[in-house]
This record gives sequence, C-alpha cells and structure tokens, in this order.
Amino acid sequence: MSTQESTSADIPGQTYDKFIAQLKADEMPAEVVDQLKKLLSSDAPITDASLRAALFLESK
Amino acid sequence: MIRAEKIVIKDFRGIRDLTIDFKTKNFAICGPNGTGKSGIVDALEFALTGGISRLSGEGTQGISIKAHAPHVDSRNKPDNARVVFTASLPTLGKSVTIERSVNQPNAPTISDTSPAVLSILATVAVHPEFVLSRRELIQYVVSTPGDRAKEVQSLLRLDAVENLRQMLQKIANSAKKEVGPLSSEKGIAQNNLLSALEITQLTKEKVLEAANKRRKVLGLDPIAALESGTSLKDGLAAKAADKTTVPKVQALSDLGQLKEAIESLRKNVESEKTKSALERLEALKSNAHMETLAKQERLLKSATELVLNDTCPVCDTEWAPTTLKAHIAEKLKALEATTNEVAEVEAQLQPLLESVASYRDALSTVKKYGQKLKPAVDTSAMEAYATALGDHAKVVRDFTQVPATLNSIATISSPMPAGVEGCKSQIAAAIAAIPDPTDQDAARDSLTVAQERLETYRSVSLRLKQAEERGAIAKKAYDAYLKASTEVLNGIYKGVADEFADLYSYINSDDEKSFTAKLTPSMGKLGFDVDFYGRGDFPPGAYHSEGHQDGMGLCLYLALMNRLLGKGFTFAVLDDVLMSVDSGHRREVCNLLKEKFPDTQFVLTTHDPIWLKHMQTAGLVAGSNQLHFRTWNVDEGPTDWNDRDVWAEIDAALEKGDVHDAAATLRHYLEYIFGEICNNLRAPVPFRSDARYQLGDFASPAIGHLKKLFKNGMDSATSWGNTTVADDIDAAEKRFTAKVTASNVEQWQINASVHYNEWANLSPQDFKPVSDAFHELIRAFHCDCGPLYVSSELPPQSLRCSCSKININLKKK
Repeated sequence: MSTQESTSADIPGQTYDKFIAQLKADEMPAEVVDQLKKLLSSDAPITDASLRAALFLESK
Repeated sequence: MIRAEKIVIKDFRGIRDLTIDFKTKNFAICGPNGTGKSGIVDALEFALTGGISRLSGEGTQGISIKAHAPHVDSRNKPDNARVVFTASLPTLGKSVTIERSVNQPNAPTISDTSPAVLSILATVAVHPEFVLSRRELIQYVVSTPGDRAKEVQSLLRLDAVENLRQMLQKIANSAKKEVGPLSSEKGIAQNNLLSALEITQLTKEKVLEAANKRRKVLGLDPIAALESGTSLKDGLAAKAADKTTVPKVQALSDLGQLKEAIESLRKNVESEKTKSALERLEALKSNAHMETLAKQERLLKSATELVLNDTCPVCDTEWAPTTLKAHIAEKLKALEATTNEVAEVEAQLQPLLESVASYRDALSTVKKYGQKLKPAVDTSAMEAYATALGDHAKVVRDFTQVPATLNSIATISSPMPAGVEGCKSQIAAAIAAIPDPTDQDAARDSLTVAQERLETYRSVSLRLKQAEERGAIAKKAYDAYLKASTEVLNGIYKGVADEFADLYSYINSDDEKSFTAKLTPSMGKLGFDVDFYGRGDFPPGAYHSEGHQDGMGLCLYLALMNRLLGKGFTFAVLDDVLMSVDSGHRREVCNLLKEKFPDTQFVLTTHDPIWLKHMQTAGLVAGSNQLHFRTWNVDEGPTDWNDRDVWAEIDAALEKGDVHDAAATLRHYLEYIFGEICNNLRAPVPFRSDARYQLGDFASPAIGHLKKLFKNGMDSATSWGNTTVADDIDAAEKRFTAKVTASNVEQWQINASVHYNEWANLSPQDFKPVSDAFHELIRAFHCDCGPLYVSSELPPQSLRCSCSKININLKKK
C-alpha cells in the first residue's frame, strides 16, 4: 500500500472536536461551551484576555 | 497541493538571473558548496511562503529578509530581488504564477485569484516545512526529548495546540491562585462577624439568635429568616448608632481578637513548618549558586508574562514571541530543582502569611477605635507598623531574594515594637475608661457593627464563590483540553511511529527488516526509541551510526509530512539531505522516494555528483531534470556547464591574454564532461573511496571505452555481414584515435596540479591548439543533437545518439 493513501491530519481540528465533546461530557455550562466554540473557530488570534472572557463569560 | 513547474529568480540571494524548468517532475541540483544551490531552495520557499527559514529563527539576529535576501549588489534595491514561481495545481487541473519581490514579501502578485487557487496557496504558505535541510533532519532524531517535541510539534503544526494548552493552564493556575487570598479574607471576615455577635459558630440559627436577642432589647421585631439581603439592624435606621463614638463592648472584643492574632502569629513563627522553611532559606542563602538560580527563576517567570510583543522585555532585542517564550521555558526547565525547592518553601510559609493577614486586620480595626476616641489617640505608629507588616509579607510572598525574604520573616516574627505596644495600651485604656453602655446602647452598637461585618462577609463570600467557580471552570477546561490533545497526539504519534518504522525498514531491508520504533509523548516532551537489531529499544543516537540516524531523520520527516498533509504531500525540497544518508543505502533511499511517494515531486540538492548519478540511475530523476552547477561568482551567481558555450569562453579569455582563466575553465570543464561521458557510455571507472575523482580518473576510461565500443560495433557489423557499416565504424574509430593523439591527453594526465600549472604557464598562442584539440576530442563523444550513449540493457545493445544519426549495433549475430 502506498503511504500516500493515508489521510492528512488536521490535528488542531481533531483536538478541537474532542475538546468540545469532552467539555459537554463534563457538563461545562452550555454558555461557556458556546463562547469557546465561537472563539476557537474564529480567525482572530486567541489571546489570554479573549480566552478568559470566553471561559468566565466576561464579554457579556 | 502543488507541483513546481518553473521558477525565475532575479537578484535574489547569490543568484543574478536564473530560470529553472522543473516540468513538475523530480529535479536534482548538484554543485560544490557555495555554488548557489541553497539560493534556489530559499527562492522556492520565499515564492511560496514569503519567508526564508535560514534568515529567521535562532542564530540569525541582525539578519532580515528585506536587508539580506536581495543579491548583495541589489541590497539597496529590494524591489529588484524577485522570484516568479509557476506551480501546477493537480487537483484543479490548472497552473498559477506567484511573483514576489523582497520589497513586499507579503504582497505577491498571483495570476489566478479564484478562491480555490488562493485556498491552496494559503495552505502551502503556512507549511514552510516542505523544505527540509540536514540541520533540521538531525534535530528530529538526536535532539533532547524536549527539543524533539518542539521540532515535531512545529512540523505537525501543533504549536497552536500547545499554545492553547499553555494558555488554559496559565488561566487555570491564576484562577486557582485567586482563591487562596480570598479564602483567607473570608476567614478574617467570619471571625470579625463572630466577634461582633459574640458567637463561636457561624450558622444561620446562631446569627439570628444573637441578632434577635439584641433586637429584643431594642424593642424590634425578631427576624424570622436570614436571607442574602436580610439586615440585622432592620428598623434601627432612625436610631442609628453614632459612628463617631466607640462601641465599648465591641471594641473590647476586638482588642481580644488582636491579642489572639498576636498569639496566632507567635505560634506560627515558632511552628515546625516555619522553622524548616527558615533552615531551607538559610541553605539557599549560603549556596550562592542556588540563590542565583532562585533569582533567575523569578526573573524568567516574570519575563514569560511580559513577553507581549516581538521584543525581549529586558533588552529590547527582536524575537519572535513564540521563540522567546520557548527559550525562556527551556531555561526554566533547567531550573526545575530550584523551582521545586522554592515552591515547597513557599508552601511552608503560607500559614505564617495567613496569620500576618489576620494580625494586620485586627490592628487596623483597633487603630480605627483609636481615631474615634475622644481625645483621639495618635495611631501613626500603629498605622506605620501595619503598613510595614504588609510590605514584609509581600516580600515573603514574592520571594525575590533570599536575604530580603529572611529579613522580612525576622521583622514579622519580632515582638510588637514598643511604640505600637504603647499605642495599643493607650487605646485599650481609653476604651476601658468609656462608661459601660446601657443595654440598649450596647445592643444598638452590636447590631450596627454586626451588620457591617455581615455585609463584608457576604461580599467576600461572593467574591470567593465566584473565584472558586472560575477556578473550577478553568480547571475543567484545561483538563478537558489536555485529555483531548493527549488522545489525538497519542493516535498521531502511534501512526507516525509505525509509518516511520515501515519506511526505515524499507531502506534497510538488508539488515533491519524487523525494525520497530516508539514515539512516547509526555508533558512537553517526546521520547523516541528505536529497535537495535532485536536487542531492545534505545535512543537513535545510542547505537546506530550517524548515517543510519540521518536515514531515520529522513524517514521520520517523510512519515510526519505524510501524516500532516496526506495526499496533499505533493512537493518537498530536500536540501543536501540525501548526502548524509549512509552510502550503503542511497539506492534504497532513491527507490523509497520513487516508489513510496510516487505523487510527491522532490527537488533534491546535493554537492556530491555521485549521488546525482545514483538519483539518475535509480530513475528518481530524469537526465534532463537536473542542474549541475560548475561554479559561482558574486557577479553572475551560479552557472551550469550546459548553459554556456565553454569553448567560446576559453577563446574569449585567450583573446584577452588570460591563459590562467582559460586553463582553469578547460580543466574544470574536462573534469565535468569526462565524468558525464563515462556515465553516458557506462565506462568502468576505477573506484576511489574518497570519491574525489579527477580528470585522469575519467578521461582514460572514457577514451578506452569508446574505442572498445567502436570495436564491438565493428565485430557486430562483421558478424551480420555488414562490411560497409564495419568500414564506417573503423573510419570513425581512426578519426577518434587521431583526435585523442592530437589532444595529447595522456601527457596532461600525470598530475592534476602540474597540468594546471603547465597550462597556465603557456602563452595564449601555445594554449589555443591545446584547447582546440580537446574541443575536437569532446566533439567526438557527441553528435550534433547531443551526447553519445549506450542503450540501457545489460550488456548494452547499441551506441547511439538521440536523433539516431549515430546508431551502432553492438550485438553480434
């Protein structure tokens, strides 16, 4: 089998999917999950402040 | 994603003007060191990413693309430095041209700006790792687990994953840190409230019981339930206590609390924990090295938090923030033992710091009474003492210097200064002298103070609850991310390790067919162990040779790229990488690239012509898909033997009377061209273990072999009864022999350095016949269409040229 038959690994994408699933399984408040999803799927750079805002719902 | 069609390079790095037609196939660039191979690699990377790895990163401070990517003569004209790259996009079935100038590396001109094309180019642009140099290759294999993790994470684009993990960890840690002081504050607020109500347990029932007892004295209705907004002094507003007077009962209770706080501090000063912390601090102090490390650790921790842009917060040197953070993290790692020691000492000092906080709070409460008393007591000494205690507690908490920390602990542990003691006594005496309040006044005072303290308690409880919630959420998020990333990475690393082992076994099938490998990730590290002939798993550098390690580096890179890009791994530049692979497995490496990566176009550079030949004979690179640089100079950049008329160059040099230049050109060209001729004719060349072949090593075999081929051709023609053909070949052989004689080639083959000197000593008139004779001799190995070569069968069936004007059958009847 050619090694090129393997598929590419979108590692950040895979990690994101598992992360969100794990948060839900851990019963993280839905609003926090939504804010994190919004932040992590946007093109804007993730900063300490933006991550805090998402986690602690400080942007509200 | 892409395949390289063509690149035009102008005034870029060491290149003045160069066009390469890759034809979307594998392409080899060969030339001695310093002939411009890496300039082409840089140009490819620049065209696709706008960056040049070799001009950025560690060890390149002071070097920039804008200042140093242009050719040295165009350093003030960066717009002249341009690269035009044409790429084929197999998935779209079209081509695109990208033109970048060094002046505006991030503003390329792209011939097709359709979203699909731009999407592919954007993907390529974030993958500078399609270029692999030997320096990077070896970092995958023999670096420390921490460095390897960084390299592999960088290659797999895990930086984003790791950065997010670090950010979540930092937030979780800082959220956790917020809880401690608030918890301590809540404890103080609780004690104050208990004191105000003269109760020992903080329960709703006890608070209500105490409050209602006082309310009854005042004729107020009892409070039925204690809710979050309940006021203990509800109904008392009109008869509010005079805040300018001192409530005697409460003040006495608070004086008692101060006494308890002093006792608590004394106990903590004398505790085993504090004693042990002091001993460890003394050890740190007496070990200057340890103290320096402790200081460094503090500095580095602060520095990490202060890296906000692309300059060092200490010296303003320009750094990429991620590189600087990684650099600091590496230094912090080296201080791990000191860090652990400091953390344990800090934990031991925590109870002492908490008792100082209670002590300060009690002092503050008593000090306020002093100011309310009539006449007021001068509390400046008490205020200064409380402030000093706070400052010393901060020194202990910050732990910046061991002597300063020890000094602050000593001050904190000292008995209350006489001035403060006097102030306290004065206040205590004045409070004692206040007439005893009536039951109603005492109840009113108590309810007023209790309500104030209840509000403080509620406020700090709320802040503590919020901090605990933030801490729990941040921890949950960090744990979830750690779990998710670990699961993904373990899967990725397992796949990479298996594929790596397959690839490595392929090129070492002769003796390491059962080779296995393990990549073991742990926090920030990546262990790498490989099988050594079934004797166990060891780090690659333990027993394998350097050549084998280089082979591992290449295989690991290919496995990682395959994992990263999958079917998008269509283009890779291996910059002098193959050179380092052990010589016994070069052909296997060529086969590996050709067979396992049939859809990947490799651009390979090497300074070893033998490697170039291996690539050709293994079918990795077609004969026409290569550049063989002969030299480089600052004015013209790299030059290929095939792209100029050498004989015209020699004549031009002789016309200028420059025999030295003409002789050097002739000698270098003959070394090159006779090597090519030997390859084309499959002439047997005596093996040299150092691979430093010279003119004599190639010329004689080339001449002798062509004569042999002519003879074989004649024998073949005779066997088939073609006497005319045999006669033609015989005539050709005689013409060839005459040219050999005229060139006097044997005479010039005694000693390379002597020849060179002898030629250089000739006059232009004497040297001209020599160069003409060699020109004729070289022509004898060529047709007008190109070089003569033998067919690929073994033994060769014919001697021929591309246009078939010459086609001598070598097979007898």
